[in-house]
Amino acid sequence: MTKLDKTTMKLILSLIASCIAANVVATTPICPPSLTNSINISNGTNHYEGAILNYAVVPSSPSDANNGILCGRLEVLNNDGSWVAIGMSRNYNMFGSEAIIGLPIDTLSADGATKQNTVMKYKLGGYTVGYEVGGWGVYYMAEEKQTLTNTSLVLEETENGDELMIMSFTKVSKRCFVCQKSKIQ
Amino acid sequence: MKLLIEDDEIIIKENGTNVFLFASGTSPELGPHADYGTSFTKDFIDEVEKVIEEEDTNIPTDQQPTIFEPTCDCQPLGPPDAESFVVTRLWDISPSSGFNDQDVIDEFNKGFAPIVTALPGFQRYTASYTGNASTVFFMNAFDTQELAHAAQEAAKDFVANGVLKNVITPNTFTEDEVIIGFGDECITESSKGHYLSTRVFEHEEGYVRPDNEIEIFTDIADIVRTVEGNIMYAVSTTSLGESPQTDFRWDIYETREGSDKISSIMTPLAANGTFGDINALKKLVAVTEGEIAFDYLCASPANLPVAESGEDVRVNEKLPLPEEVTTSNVASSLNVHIIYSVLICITLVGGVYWR
Repeated sequence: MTKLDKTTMKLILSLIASCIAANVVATTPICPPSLTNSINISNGTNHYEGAILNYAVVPSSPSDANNGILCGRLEVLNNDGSWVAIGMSRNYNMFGSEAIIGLPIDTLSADGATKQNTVMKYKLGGYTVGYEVGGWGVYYMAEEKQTLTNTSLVLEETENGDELMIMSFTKVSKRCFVCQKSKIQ
Repeated sequence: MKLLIEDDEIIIKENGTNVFLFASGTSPELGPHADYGTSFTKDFIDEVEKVIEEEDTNIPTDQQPTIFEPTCDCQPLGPPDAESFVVTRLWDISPSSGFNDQDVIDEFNKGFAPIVTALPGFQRYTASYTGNASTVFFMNAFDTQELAHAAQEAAKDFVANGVLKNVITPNTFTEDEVIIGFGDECITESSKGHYLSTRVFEHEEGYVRPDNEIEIFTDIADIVRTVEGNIMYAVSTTSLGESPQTDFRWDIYETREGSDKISSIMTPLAANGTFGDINALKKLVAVTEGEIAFDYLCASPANLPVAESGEDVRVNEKLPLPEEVTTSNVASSLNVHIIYSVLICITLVGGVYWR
């Protein structure tokens, strides 16, 4: 094979690779290494210094694939290793809301086993824990609704010696109609 | 606009206010949160470009969020086919609250229906106008007494801790076990838009339920079902063990005319003692007659309204417009007035009610 042939071959291979890359039709969205968007929860209705929600919205790929995700990392400073939660509400009320809760010690599972550092989805159907009153209260969503991935709950120490509880999760974001127009990827 | 959707869950909108809650506990195990539990809002419009209106309106029907899926094949109405426990709530609306019956119904539809319909053992959640615009009526049915009671408590909780606090107050609440329920062979459709009649009766102190009460109610049901448009008829009695006993009885017809017709048939039969002691009652505690505003069944798939600000649920749900409600209520009020008059007369001559 001559040198010209090699150059030609490289060009052809390069073109083929470009074509393949341009025609990829389905990739599984993944969270970016750094969640650059953040919400300072200190601006909430109750002033609290030390909670931040970092997040990224990763649209479906391709746009009609229904496989978008919401990547989240909740950081809470100096909470003495206690549980943390971020919830979605229709009306500011806890009752009727849904939440992602990170439990350093989880004693709620049906099999009675104690688990550590769980991050799961919950229904907030009351102000008590679990199923005491016929399924009301704060309780796990059904198993088929436990769709969070890449979950973790860790207690880290900051450079200043403070404790930082970090709850990470990836939540299904089934549809995104603006994927092709989104500014974020 | 809908950006972050997971089936059956609260939608996070791409533009508009999203409400988030934050809490941190006081221990590693789930329990009370610390004082700094808080809420905050976020509009994602900064991150995601606004989608044009056509894209939102062209969402395929089969992709629209469904908060409620059927969990039973045929609607359980009570014995003999199924166990059923029903709790009812007749609320008074404070005249100074600025809320009307539709507003109250909408609040429950948005905030309470998604919770109660998703619970295990759920059978039914119904709301109806009452013939009196200053009251609203709701009922839940579950397959156990515990769950039904929990629903009752949760409904009170929903009011005490939400926007309806000081807007509505209890008028008449009941917690009952269904004695017997009759209806079409297999009900799989919501009765929204149909006509619901309910009665809460109080028996005499020391009332003993007759051994043949099921047979008598079966006879009544046979007559009830002769009227065109009857969908169901059921009878329940208190599950709380209080004395004197109270009964909750209700029926659904496709139209108000059907309900009126059965009253005209049954009232004279009850008055002449055809049905014995089961209709010898001390007091009519409460009565409602009106169109069903929403009706979620375990047997009937229903898309609950998405709680988006500014969305007019009534348009989507095809509930009556305020003018229609007003007209209906005026007519119903007259009807209830007539019924009350008849019942009062019957009471004076012997305390007998037909159903």
